[in-house]
This record gives sequence, structure tokens and C-alpha cells, in this order.
Amino acid sequence: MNRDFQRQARDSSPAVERGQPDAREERFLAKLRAKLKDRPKAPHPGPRPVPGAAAGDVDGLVTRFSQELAAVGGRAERCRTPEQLAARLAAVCREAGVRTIALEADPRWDQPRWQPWRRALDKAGCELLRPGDGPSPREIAAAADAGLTIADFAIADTGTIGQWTGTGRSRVISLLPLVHLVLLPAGSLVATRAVVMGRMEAAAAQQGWPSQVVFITGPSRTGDIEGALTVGVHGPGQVHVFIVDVESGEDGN
Amino acid sequence: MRARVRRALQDTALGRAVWRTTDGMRSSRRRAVAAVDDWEAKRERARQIRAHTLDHLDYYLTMLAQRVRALGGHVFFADTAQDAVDYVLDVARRHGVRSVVKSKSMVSEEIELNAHLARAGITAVETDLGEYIVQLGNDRPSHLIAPAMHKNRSQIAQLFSQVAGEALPDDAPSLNAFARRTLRQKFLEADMGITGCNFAVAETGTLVLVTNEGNGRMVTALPRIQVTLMGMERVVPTMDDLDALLDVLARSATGQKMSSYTTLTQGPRRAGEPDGPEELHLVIVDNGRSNMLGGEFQEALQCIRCSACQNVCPVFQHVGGHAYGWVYGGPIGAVITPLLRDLDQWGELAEASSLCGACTEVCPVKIPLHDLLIGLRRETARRGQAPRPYPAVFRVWRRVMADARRWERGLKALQLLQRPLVRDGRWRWAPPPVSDWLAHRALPAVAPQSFRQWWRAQRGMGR
Repeated sequence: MNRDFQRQARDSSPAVERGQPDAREERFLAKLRAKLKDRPKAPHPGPRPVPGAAAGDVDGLVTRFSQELAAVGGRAERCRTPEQLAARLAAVCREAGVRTIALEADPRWDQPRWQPWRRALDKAGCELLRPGDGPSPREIAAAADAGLTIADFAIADTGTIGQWTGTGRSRVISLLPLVHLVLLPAGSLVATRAVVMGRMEAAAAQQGWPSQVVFITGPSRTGDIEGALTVGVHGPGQVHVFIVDVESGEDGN
Repeated sequence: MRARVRRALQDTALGRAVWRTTDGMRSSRRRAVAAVDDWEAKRERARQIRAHTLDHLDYYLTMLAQRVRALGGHVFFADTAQDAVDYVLDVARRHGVRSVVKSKSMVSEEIELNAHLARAGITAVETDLGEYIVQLGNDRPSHLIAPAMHKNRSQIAQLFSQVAGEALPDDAPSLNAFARRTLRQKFLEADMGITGCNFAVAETGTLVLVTNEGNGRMVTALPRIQVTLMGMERVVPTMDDLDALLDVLARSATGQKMSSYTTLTQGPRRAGEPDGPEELHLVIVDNGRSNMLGGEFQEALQCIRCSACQNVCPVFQHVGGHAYGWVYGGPIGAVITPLLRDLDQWGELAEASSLCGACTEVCPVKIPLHDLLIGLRRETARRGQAPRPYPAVFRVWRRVMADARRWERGLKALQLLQRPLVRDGRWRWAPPPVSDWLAHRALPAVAPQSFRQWWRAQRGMGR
């Protein structure tokens, strides 16, 4: 992204064109300008080097990710084949008492490389609820035992998965149900948040930022009652990530 | 303030609760920071980013407003609390809003938004569990990120039972389950979501929310209108800068590497997306912040509201947040409350510090908090409002310290004067105001021989 404005800011010559400024806004900003007029300006420390997407030791990242997620109360496991996924998903759902799973109208479900994995869901022994012409994602998610999404990225360092919004992608499938099930393509796993930010900035330079990006690190939690850690206060109390060896494909992962 | 402090000190349950909360967070922070090998470098970068942004605040706010509008959002600049309240009420009226869900916003506490909404016939529900408890108790938050730390389980169970219309058990899981059920319904019904703003990224028009409970996500996913209240200092230039600040925020607050949820919002929902707000409003609030801009207290605006300074402060640990009398407690509260509001009325808060410097040491953006407290004391004294004995005491002190002979004479005088008052090497009685100090501490007697006297005696022997 263009960082010229940082130089401009250091020269302190604000010359950006305004959106729809009105008199009030002009007054507000002029007030700040007047306060700052005689102050020596602190320099910006400059951007940090964008960490290279080092060709990864996937196994190492998977191990690290699983440990970090476990440390914050989530679980992760690797499923190398759709058959493994079907078996593990069935087991996890049985254990958690999940009988209905809400899905997103994620365009990736129509991609050929996701088809075998999509079919694996049918074998999990749960009813799949899909938004279509009928109920909205919020109605489905509010009723389902679990929500299942495909992660867009994940960070090994912190046990974080990430998702962004887009056509058909809902903000609430991963939020309203008490159990969040995640399919994470092994190739989307990187070491640090800085790598993710770098990649997102590069992608945004082409197509702009999505309306929302969410970083999810373990279950919803609070310590607001006598400092006692409790999970599932508003969002999921369980986060279960299945790291799947899906072929890398057109969504850039 | 004295009255509030006395009340807080007498409340032993409060004392235990504050200690439990701050002690837990303090040790979590210590562990998290020790696990980072370049913590000091991270702090320094965070400080530089915040200092640079504040020096160019007009520039970055202009850019932020422009980007948010380009994404389809509305931006309003509010000079005062009243401006901000009027704008929110206006948006609510235009859309016939009946119910509001809120995620945590300290700015909304400053401007007392809930009371204003209620007067307009709009129900606003706090959804952060701690804030919900505080709201039900008709109370104020007592800690930046653990707002209900002053309430114990049975008090919370009582409040919840009133809402439920039946007696609820007082264990944390049951209380949480009740809150989940009750607030879930509110989320699904609400017309408007009101959020705070941890950061805003100027370059991209991004509004950033950091929560552990997920209520910040609910509020920005379900209602059809989103209003984000932002203290004008919360802007950062770039995504890379945001990343650098996220590095220090969660670790300093709860000791987490990352909070459970960090959301980056770029405008309202887009075509083809099934949920998210149709309309998004960003309210950029001054409300006294510009008092600090460009002057000796500007660094206080670097604050990212992590609460680390509260958790290490020996004064805060004893009295909790309410004793500070307004929205912000602890060292940062003692600095910004007088500056946001009125130095004449609130200047005494700067006295609520032992100047030990623990706050300055932990601050992730390196605000020299105890220096700012001294600055405030100086400013109060300049206005002739220092606590009464101070000017006289310090005038004497200055004269005595400026002259070695006077100092020695003073010591000799004390050695004589203290004789009837000292037993076992400690002062037993002193006239006020020293008596206040003696009530809780031991004051050693002036030694019968001063160091200078001893030194002269030694030298004499050596020769």
C-alpha cells in the first residue's frame, strides 16, 4: 500500500482531499491544528519489514498451532483425507452432543477441490442446515448446535484462526452456536500475525479490504464474575479446528 | 476524595476483590511479557507510533474520515459530550430505534449515553458481562477491563435474580448461562448496535474492536445500524502500526497473546452479504481531549486503555476505581480526569499516588505517568490550590535544604525536639498533619548523630 502519506505527515503538510467536510468538521480539525502548530513533530518509526512467506514446514506449524490453541481452551487435529474428517467430525459431534450443524453459503463449497470434503460432512451423522432461499443465516445459526466454517487463514504463534466476510459469508455462523467447527486448509497456516497482515495488505491492494475480518483465538470467555474464567459467555464455548489437506486453489490459500 | 477513599478502605470485601483482580492480572501480564524477547523494543515502537500520530492528529483524522466515507460509512466530529449524544439520538430517531445493544465503550460512560437514551425512550443494554452487571446495579465501572470487579458472586446473583424473577444459584457458570440466554435475546431483537473503538486505522478506514466475550462481534453483526464511538486519539496510521499495538495491548491487559476476538471493520455490509449493519456511523469525540493536545500533558493521550497501570498501582489496589470519583480510575485516571474535566475541581486526584513509578514502568506506550502526576501537582500549586500545609512546608524545606548550616541546625533542633515524642527509636506522637501519616506508618527518629557528624568524627580519628 501507498505509504507516501507517512512522509507527508512528517513534513506536516496536510494536503489530502476531504470527503464531505462541513463547517463543524473544519472547525474541529482547525482547533487541533492550532494546538499542534508549535509542537516539534515526532517521526514515524517506519514500516517493519514484511516477513517473507517462508516456504513452510507445515508439520511444525500444525504442532505449534495445536499447542497454542489448546493453551487457550480450543482443540485442533489434522485430517489428511476426507474419510478421516468424516470419522473425526462424527466423533467430535457425538462427544459434544451436536445434532445440527449450520453452514455458510460459502462459494468455496462449489469448488471442485472442496467437493470430497463437502461430502465428508454428510457422513458426520448430523443434520446440516444451509441458508438458502428460506431461513437466514442468523435464524439457522441461532437454532443449530454447532456452526461450521472454512477458515481463511490461521496463525500458529497464537492459535488464531481468521475469517473475512464476502458474498454468502455470514458473520454469525461462527458466533451464535455453542460449538464452532472449523475446517482449516493446512496451506493457510502461517507462523505469525505479521505474515497474515502482510498477505492481507497485498490482497487488499488488488481488491480492497472485506467489510469485516475477524481473528478468533479460542472460545468466547470472560472473567467478569470474581475473576473466574468461564467460556461460552456470548459466543462458542468450544472451538474445534480440523486441519485438512485440501489442495491449494483459486482462493489464494 | 477523602470521603470516597475512607469508604473504600472500610469496605474489606471490596479490598479483597480489588486485590484478587489486580493480582491475577498483574501476574498474567508479567508472565506474558517475560515470554517476549524484545518487549522493550515493542514498547518503544508502540510509543513512537502513538506520539507521531498525536503530533499529526488533524492529518490522520482527516484521512480516517475520508476512508470511512469512501467505504460507505458516515462520520461525525463531536466537540462535546452533548454533540455526541445529540448525534446518536438523531440517528436513533431517524430510524425509529427502540432497542440498542452496546459493547464496551468508555467514551459512552463519559458522555452518559445510556441515561440520555433512556430519557428518549430507548432501551440500551450493556452486553459486556461486567458492564451488564454494573448497569443492573445502577453503578459505575470500577476497572478499565474488569468493570464489575467490585461485585461478588452473591451480589451478582441477586441482581440477576431480580431480572429473572426467580432465585438463581450464585456459581459463575449458572450466572454466565443466565446472561447468555438473556443477552442473546437482546442481540437478536436490537435495532442498533453501539460499540467503542480500540483503534481506528487511518489508511484503510478500519474500526478495530478487541473483546474476549464476543459481544463486540454480536453488536457489529446483528443490528441493522452500527454506531461506533471513538475517542479522537484512538487513530493509528497503518495496518502495520495496528499490528504493533495489538502486540502490546492484550499482553499488557490480561496477559493473553491475543484476545479471543479481534475484529477489523471496513464500512457497512456489502451487496451479497447476508448480515452485518446496513448503516455505519463513526462518531469521533473530543470531549476535553484537546485540552491535552500540544501541551505538557499530551503523552496521556497515547493511552490504549489496557489497565496495566491500574493493576500495579498500590493506591488503586487499596481503594479500587470508584474512589477516583468518575469514569477512569488508577494512575491514568488520576492524570486524565482533571484534564478532561476541570483541574480546579479534580486536581486533588494527582495526590492519589505515592509516585513510586510502577505505572510508568508497565505502560505499554511508555506514558511517563508519575511525571505527569507531578506536573499536575505543580499546575495545581500554581493556581494556589495545593493542599493547605504544602506551600508553607515546602517554603521552609527549600530554605533549609539550600544551606548546609541551616540543615545542620535544623537536624540538631529536631534531635532535641523529638526527645519527649520518641520511644524505641520511633515517633509515638506528632502534631497534625504529620499525625495522619503516623497513623499507618512508623517514622524512625532522627539519629542522635548525623552522617556528617559521624564523618567528621571518623576523619578526626584518622588523622
